[in-house]
Amino acid sequence: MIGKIEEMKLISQCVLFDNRDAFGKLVDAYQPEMRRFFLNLTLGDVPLSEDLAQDTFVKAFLNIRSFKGLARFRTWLYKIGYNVFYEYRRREMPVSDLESPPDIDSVNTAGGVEASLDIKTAFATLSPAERSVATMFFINDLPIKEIADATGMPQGTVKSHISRARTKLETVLKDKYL
Amino acid sequence: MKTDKNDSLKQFLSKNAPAPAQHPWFTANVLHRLPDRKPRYSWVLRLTYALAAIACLICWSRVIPELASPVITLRTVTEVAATAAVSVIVLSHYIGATLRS
Repeated sequence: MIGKIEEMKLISQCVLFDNRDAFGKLVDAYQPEMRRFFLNLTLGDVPLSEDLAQDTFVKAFLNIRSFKGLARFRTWLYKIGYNVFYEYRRREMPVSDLESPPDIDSVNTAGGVEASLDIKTAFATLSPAERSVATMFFINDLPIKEIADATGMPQGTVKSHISRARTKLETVLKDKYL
Repeated sequence: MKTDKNDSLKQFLSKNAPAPAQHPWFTANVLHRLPDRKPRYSWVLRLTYALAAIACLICWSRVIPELASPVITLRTVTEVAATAAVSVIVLSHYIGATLRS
């Protein structure tokens, strides 16, 4: 994880000098987090999640001059990622494939394949908005304020989604894991 | 906000939710998809063309009244030819640079 000052230096390099190496360092810093975000948002669809993650970074580069520095770069990236996912949903079929198992070779299932499958099942019970918020909160560990900034939802709505998501996730996972 | 329950669920999910495998080419793939770089000093080139265009207009504004006079000297012809040549060169460079970009 890079510090805020280093981050601002890299962003300035991108904006002022179109420095691709600097942007590459930003991608390196945030790609594991963004890829994990999309992997869980798409219920384990590895090729789709990789495409969406790439789209997010490309859009971030194209719009980097609009980044004002008031929020963290990470929050801005999640905002772009959130919009990328919803644009995809508007264009394509909804993500609801419970039948396809995760691609084991392309996914790090350190906690066990069974747990990964159960988590996928649990997340499939959430609405898209709940899934987005739950992924950001429970898996990517974003604070509520950042989630609200990224999604454009009021903090109260974020908290409601988290609460409902928690209830649904616990229903599926409680007996076996919690 | 039910912190203890959130903490245990969060701990479980952050540890067990699928994480993507290492992808050493991810950053390279992203950089490959970015648009081509603009010329580094494109604003300098644009400024140069603008100044050249202004200089040509100033020259034409001096040369055209001389063409209207009843006596056309060799100097007038030379000035017209030089101004026309410079205008053509500047215009062709600008069009070429625009088409290339």
